[in-house]
Amino acid sequence: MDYLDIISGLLSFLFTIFVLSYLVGDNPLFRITIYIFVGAAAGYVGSVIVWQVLKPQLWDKGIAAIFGGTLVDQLLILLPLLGAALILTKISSRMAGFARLPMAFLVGAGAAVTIGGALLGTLLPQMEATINFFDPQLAAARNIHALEVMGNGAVILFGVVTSLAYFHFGARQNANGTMHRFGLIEIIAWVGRIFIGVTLGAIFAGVFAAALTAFIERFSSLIDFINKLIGIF
Amino acid sequence: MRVLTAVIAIAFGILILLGYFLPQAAIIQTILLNWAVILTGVAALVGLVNLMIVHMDKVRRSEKGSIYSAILVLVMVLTFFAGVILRPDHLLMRKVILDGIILPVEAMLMGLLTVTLLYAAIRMLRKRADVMGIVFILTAALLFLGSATLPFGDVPVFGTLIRPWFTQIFALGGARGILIGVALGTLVTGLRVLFGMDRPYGGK
Amino acid sequence: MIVDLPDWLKAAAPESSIFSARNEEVTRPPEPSAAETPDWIKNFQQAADVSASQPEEPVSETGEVSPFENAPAFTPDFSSESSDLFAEMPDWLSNAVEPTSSANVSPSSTPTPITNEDALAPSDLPTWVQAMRPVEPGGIPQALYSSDQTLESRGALAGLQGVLPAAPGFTPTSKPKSYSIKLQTSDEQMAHAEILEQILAAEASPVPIESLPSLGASRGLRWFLAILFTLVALVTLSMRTQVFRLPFAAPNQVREAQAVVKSIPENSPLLVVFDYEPSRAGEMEAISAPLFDMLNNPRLTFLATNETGATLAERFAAGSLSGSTYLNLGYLSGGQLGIRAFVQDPTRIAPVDIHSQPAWTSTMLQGVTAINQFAAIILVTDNAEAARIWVEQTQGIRSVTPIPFIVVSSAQAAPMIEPYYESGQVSGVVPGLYGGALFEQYNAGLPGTARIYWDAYSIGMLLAVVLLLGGGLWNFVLGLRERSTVKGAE
Repeated sequence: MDYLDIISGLLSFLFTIFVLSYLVGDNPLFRITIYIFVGAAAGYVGSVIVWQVLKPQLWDKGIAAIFGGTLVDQLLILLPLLGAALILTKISSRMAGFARLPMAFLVGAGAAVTIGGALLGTLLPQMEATINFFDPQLAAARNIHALEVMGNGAVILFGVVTSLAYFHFGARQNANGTMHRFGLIEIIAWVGRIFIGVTLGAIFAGVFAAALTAFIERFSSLIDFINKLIGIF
Repeated sequence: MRVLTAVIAIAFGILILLGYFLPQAAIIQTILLNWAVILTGVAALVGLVNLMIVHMDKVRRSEKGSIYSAILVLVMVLTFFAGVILRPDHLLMRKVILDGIILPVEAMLMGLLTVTLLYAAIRMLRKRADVMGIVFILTAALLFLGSATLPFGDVPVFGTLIRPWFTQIFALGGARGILIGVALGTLVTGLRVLFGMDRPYGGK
Repeated sequence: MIVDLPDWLKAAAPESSIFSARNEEVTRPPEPSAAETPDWIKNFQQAADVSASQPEEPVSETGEVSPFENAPAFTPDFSSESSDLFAEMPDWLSNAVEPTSSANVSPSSTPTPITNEDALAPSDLPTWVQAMRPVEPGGIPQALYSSDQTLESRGALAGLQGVLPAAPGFTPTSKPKSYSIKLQTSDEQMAHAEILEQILAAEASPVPIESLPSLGASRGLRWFLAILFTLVALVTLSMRTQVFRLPFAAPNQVREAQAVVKSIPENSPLLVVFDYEPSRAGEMEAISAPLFDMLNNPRLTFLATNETGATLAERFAAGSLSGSTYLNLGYLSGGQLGIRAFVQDPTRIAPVDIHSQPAWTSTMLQGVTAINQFAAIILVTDNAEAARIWVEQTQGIRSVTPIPFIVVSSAQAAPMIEPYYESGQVSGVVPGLYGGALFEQYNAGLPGTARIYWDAYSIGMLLAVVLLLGGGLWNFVLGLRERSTVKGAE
């Protein structure tokens, strides 16, 4: 155990205890810990961006383009450089308007990638998979009895349809001014609530399991550190 | 400026979208996305500068809790310059900053959720005793039971039958419904941006 | 000058413009009868007639008419248009201008001609300027001029007299009429207005949200839970108990993941994506370790899609992959934009490794220039959203060249990744510590982190079941009682 491990272990031990102290209630130690954490995380992320994004993508490519690149290479690096400069104007409140140009580019790019991904990667394959549950040949290929597959497929299809109906918020207005959904949709949506409830319950169980694992891991590291210290002294 | 930003968003959006369907447009897509990679990095850096300015303002105005802001700025500047000088993957950075500060604080905060989540779930039915609430609690309890084991092995029925059936069939239906709903929502949002109906970058 | 104008532009030019030929006959609309015309308008007409009857100015030798030489600023059309305008005026407006008629003008408001002739002789004025001059006193309604004859002594108007009338001379000559402000509406319009009012009132009135009074925080329960779970963790971990058996019944997605891992040939290039927060490092490392331990001497290439991911990958490699060789491409920014770009052309998007050395010429990536040349993709994530993006953005390339795609997932993300496994878009999933423990079972218990945690985890889960069902039922009954008490009180 070298000195770096001791410093790291000691810091980890202290900060774990400080955060754990929140169970007693909000206190200055907890607050200081949180602010130190935010500062360290932000500074660390900044240095990662400098070394792993800006250096290889802007600096290295820029140098290569200027000293030995073609005109196209130089243009290809000039444009993002210009965009980066415009984004930096966001720091100044007077010139922040110029940052809208690269931000518009990012929003447009994000929208395009979202559309392409959602359509080709989720919507079509997921709908196809819901239908394929009723394909006996595919069931045979998976070595599962056709009836079992179709029974499960029916439950899944029912869950998908009713869950989607739950998110259907079209409504009509009654004579007394209150809003109500169309009768059939209301019934389907009610069933959808059960499926959504089950899914949210599963997600909750997952989050709890992840939190419990993190809780155990922290205590494990505390015990390990104490054991190591005892071993040293 | 409003027209120009809309033209930029729509034109580049369509060019990138074409890359999904036309192999000839793939190279343009890659070039444009490479620019986006750089710009998002710079935008993140601007966000960090903004965080620092906000906290420095707090310190300058001696607001309540400005001592915490001073600590934040100090640690942030030190970490940033240490990272820039040493590189973020340096052993010292990894051991002190990641293993010593970031990881234990984040992990313990996550660990505290164990108590908070269970506390909230126990008391949920006191306020909300509808069908969804009851189904939610029962599902969570069943999956807790199915995830654990006993000294002699899996919990009978729950671990071997009910848990797999719930996660792979029942919850799958709802999850797929949510996924398709999310995909539809993002698709519509993306199309609204490409049609210029939504302009989150500024302008109406 | 008018001859220079093209025909289409002449046609577009207004009739009363300064480009009109002087001797061109102007078609006037029929004038209203004298009985219908108020006196003051008649005065305007007289003034216009005087100007119209003035002798014509000589035309230039070329026969062209200079527009600036002779054309009056106000053409005779002015009067006729004015009379048309006022002939069509509604009664209420006609009444409003009545007080200015000459019959009502008081003697005190008798106009006096301006006395600035000294500055410029009338004969020196060009005709168009004369036309702009105030017209003869007889033709102008007297009330339009003020009786104030103050000589301006300073400023731009110095030397002029009576240019700006003083306020005292400007007195109303009659009491303004009062007009009814009652809106003339039909019954149908009133009915519509009432409906609109009702709609607006319904929008503005707050709708009470049905809710029970908020629960007071139960500090006792929170303390009880905290102490209970802390004790469980401390006791089981410090004593290193191994009472509870690891799970045995592997679900389909874990079995598929094992099958894929075992089927990967020796020395194959693998892309490993690290996309998890440091808060889940303990869980993710415990799950991933047995999976990587099962791999047969792979060539690992790491990529991170969150900022701390690259360093977490280094940490994982130092802890669980000691002795293995790997290449770390570092952090890929841009979220789904970056992922899409990397999938399209990894050599352009991630040209160097974490140490700034060229990545794609290294031995680890020998023969690999595109993503479909990896033997498999392993995504280690705690985020269902990240898994969705990776599945979506690699879908196109994987549908052309099928590449096994394994997701090592935190327990919290697993339920939302399940649909992608069922649709065949993901080859296998290792969900949470449960999945990690299953992998460890099938890997002769190596490296063993899941085993260390498992007793605390199992006891914690069992306690959670008891507390959730018992406490939930207790609170359900309490809630029912409270609600019945509230209803009884009402």
